[in-house]
Amino acid sequence: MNGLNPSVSLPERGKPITVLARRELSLLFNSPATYVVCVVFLLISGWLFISPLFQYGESTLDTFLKPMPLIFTFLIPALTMRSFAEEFRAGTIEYLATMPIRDYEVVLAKYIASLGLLGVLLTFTLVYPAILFIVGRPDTGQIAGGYLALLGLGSLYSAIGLWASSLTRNQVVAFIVAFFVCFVFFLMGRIAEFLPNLFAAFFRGWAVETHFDALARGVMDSRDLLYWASGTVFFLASCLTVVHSRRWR
Amino acid sequence: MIEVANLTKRYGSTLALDHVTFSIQPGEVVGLLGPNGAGKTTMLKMLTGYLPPTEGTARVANLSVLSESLQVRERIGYLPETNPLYEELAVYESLEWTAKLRGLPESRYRPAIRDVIRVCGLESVVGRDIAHLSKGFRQRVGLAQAILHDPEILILDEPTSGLDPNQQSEVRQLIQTLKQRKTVLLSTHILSEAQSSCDRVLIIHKGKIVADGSPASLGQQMTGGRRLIVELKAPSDLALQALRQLSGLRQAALQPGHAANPVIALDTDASIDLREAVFDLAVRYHWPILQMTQEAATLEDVFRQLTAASSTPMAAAVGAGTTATGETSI
Repeated sequence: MNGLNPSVSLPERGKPITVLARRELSLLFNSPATYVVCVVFLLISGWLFISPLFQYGESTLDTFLKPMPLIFTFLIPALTMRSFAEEFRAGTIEYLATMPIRDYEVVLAKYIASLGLLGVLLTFTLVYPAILFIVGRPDTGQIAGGYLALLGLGSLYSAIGLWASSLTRNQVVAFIVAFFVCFVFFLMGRIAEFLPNLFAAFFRGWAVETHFDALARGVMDSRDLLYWASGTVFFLASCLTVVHSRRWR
Repeated sequence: MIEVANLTKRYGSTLALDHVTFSIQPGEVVGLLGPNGAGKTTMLKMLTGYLPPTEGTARVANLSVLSESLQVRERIGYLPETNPLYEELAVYESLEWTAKLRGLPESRYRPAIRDVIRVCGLESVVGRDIAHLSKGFRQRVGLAQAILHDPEILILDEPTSGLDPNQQSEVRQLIQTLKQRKTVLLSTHILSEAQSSCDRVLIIHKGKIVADGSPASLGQQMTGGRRLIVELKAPSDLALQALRQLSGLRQAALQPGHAANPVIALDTDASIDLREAVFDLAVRYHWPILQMTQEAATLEDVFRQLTAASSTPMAAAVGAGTTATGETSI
């Protein structure tokens, strides 16, 4: 056969993440479910943006951005539920685990693919600010902040979705767990309104809406960025721990 | 090439592997035999780095499967028992993806893919989705993925499981081709497969290695000698009396169920060959020899003897399934 040297040097290790992420993305784009979810999201977001524009003549992204923390609690779990659950169900996790790749590379690749899909989806929504620029003079900083907030939210929810998917071989269970956890993060802001000040501050600190709204207004605060980053890292690390746990079972 | 020392695996209170020790030399084709649940798959999963041992050490290509798992995985080709494949990929895409994931550059993986497609006989299905392939072709795709990077060591978990006899034969031929250049460790509970494909057999039972040797030597070890079956055209009592005079004979017994001519089993030590003496005796008495067969205990006999103690239904099923192919006549 070929006289290949089986040993591929370790410094080349950055590559598997790219290979895996591309494959995950192509898998997502080949799934009809992805298109259904994306079309539904674009229809809803389009309606949210367009209706006040014509009704009140307002040129703002607020009506599109405001409901996103709630809409993403459905959207992101639907996009990530397959990632690990399907690998466990089909047994392909054994294939991945016996290839010369590290567990964290698999987790990161799936996370990147999930964010990549969200990025593509959000690219379609750029038509809304484009319309705003045609009909008025919107605040560029606010638009940039809004999209940064969407990415932060998507990043955290994707990490939660991947973690939930790593817990089970059933995609529906993965969706429900991810939805529940995302919804708890969403709900914290609402619950805070009914609590005494001391507790309300604590709950607001954990709520996604607090950090989303601040960033979406165009206020760039490092605490908000830290919130998204640390939440993402925490759930990705939890996902890695679950995937890795077979090694100490 | 593969060194295993006191390897133990517990799943909670269940002891799947119990202080197993063995080593495999480069170029050997070793069959891991055992009834279902004996610990074969657990053993292979630990050697590939998929599962960690509870105790003991395992080294593959002189690398620890625990601390140097990534390097071990680079050097082995593994076909899991369930042969998990990405069904939505076409055969070529699946091989290409495996090559990329292993970090092979395009200039090297393209000829490698061509080679494995030829070696595994996948030419006719190369553009077809894996979801639409027969079990036999899927097994070949799994095998092609395992050998794509030309590994030093091949670990195959029940490579012919679920295949029809023709497909089994094809996979065995493929293993024969590969064994010229690789160290192969394969698990199976098809005894004829181990007998025909393997230089050496490890019989595993209840998580322990209960026999280790070539299929032929295991048979001799179990019986401690040889058996010669002789059918003569002669009076039974006279023939038995005459044969009992042969030197080196341990025991001579008339085989039941042969009314016309006596069929006599002659048991001797492994070092003694009575065939010439029997021939001389038959010539002297003018008794035509109708049949003379030297028997060794078959791998099936050995397997049943070593594994029948606990899982009787299993051992019986294995025996029943392989009767036609398990016998060895010399």
